[in-house]
Amino acid sequence: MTNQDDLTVARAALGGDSAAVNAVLGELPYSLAVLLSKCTDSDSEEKAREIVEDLPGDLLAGVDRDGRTVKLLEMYQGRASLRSWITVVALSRLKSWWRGPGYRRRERGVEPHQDQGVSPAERGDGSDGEPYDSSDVLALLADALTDSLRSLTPRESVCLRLVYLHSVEQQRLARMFGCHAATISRDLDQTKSAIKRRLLWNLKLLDPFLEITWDDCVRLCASESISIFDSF
Amino acid sequence: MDEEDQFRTLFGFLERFETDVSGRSADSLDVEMEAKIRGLAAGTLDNSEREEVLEQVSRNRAGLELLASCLRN
Repeated sequence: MTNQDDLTVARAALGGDSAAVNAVLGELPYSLAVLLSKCTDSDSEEKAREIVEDLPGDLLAGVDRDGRTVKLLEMYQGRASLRSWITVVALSRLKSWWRGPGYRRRERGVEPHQDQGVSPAERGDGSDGEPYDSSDVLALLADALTDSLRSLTPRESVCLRLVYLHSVEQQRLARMFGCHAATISRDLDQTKSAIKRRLLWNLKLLDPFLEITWDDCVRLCASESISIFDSF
Repeated sequence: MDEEDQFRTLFGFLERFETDVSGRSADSLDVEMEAKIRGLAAGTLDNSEREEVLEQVSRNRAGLELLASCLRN
């Protein structure tokens, strides 16, 4: 893992280590600067500050899920530097807010910066109205999906990977476990439903403004793998 | 795309993504572990051994690949 030091800091922060917490919070001014550099109107700047102000609570205090507190920082898996990851999360929230009904550009005569307040159709990029920036969402999607898989039991995880990654027939699994193939099929169905629910929940935790469906996730996953953490 | 293909797509993405980011894991297997995985595939392990091996395989790419290979052949 290329960002092991950052991962260690994140885990220490989640464990309550005050120096690590300060290190995590110390990344926020950078994220705010990136967000502000994308804004061209006062509403957006205000929202950018609000998003960054909310991050400490989301990252380290967490929200309730199924009777358990889940902290956003738990989703960090060291794929990018902590600074980049936090910035991608914040930027995704800002971009989703721009696309939502809450945002109306009030300052006329100001050219929007890049994709600020501009739909893909308006940009003319031919992306058939896809309501988000794929590169940002891909970054979040990988983390959300990995976290979803981590929630499975070893048996669930192994069965799912054997069938859908390694193309092992369910009959073979049934023989291995000494059960009927229908049992394997039923278990896989339950596991897949759990993954779908958890994936969308995780994405909502990462970016509460993001409007994305299961089909959107699949379509994004089918796209080419691209470099996603250096786009800002 | 049906649900089966959707999940293949998801796992393909994750596999590609992990490889892009960190390269192939250098997970290795010792002889004892290999034997246990072959036993798992053959269905000859008792419940507690099976759970133990599944737990290790779930965290080991090489182990999962060996298990898949045993089951396919």
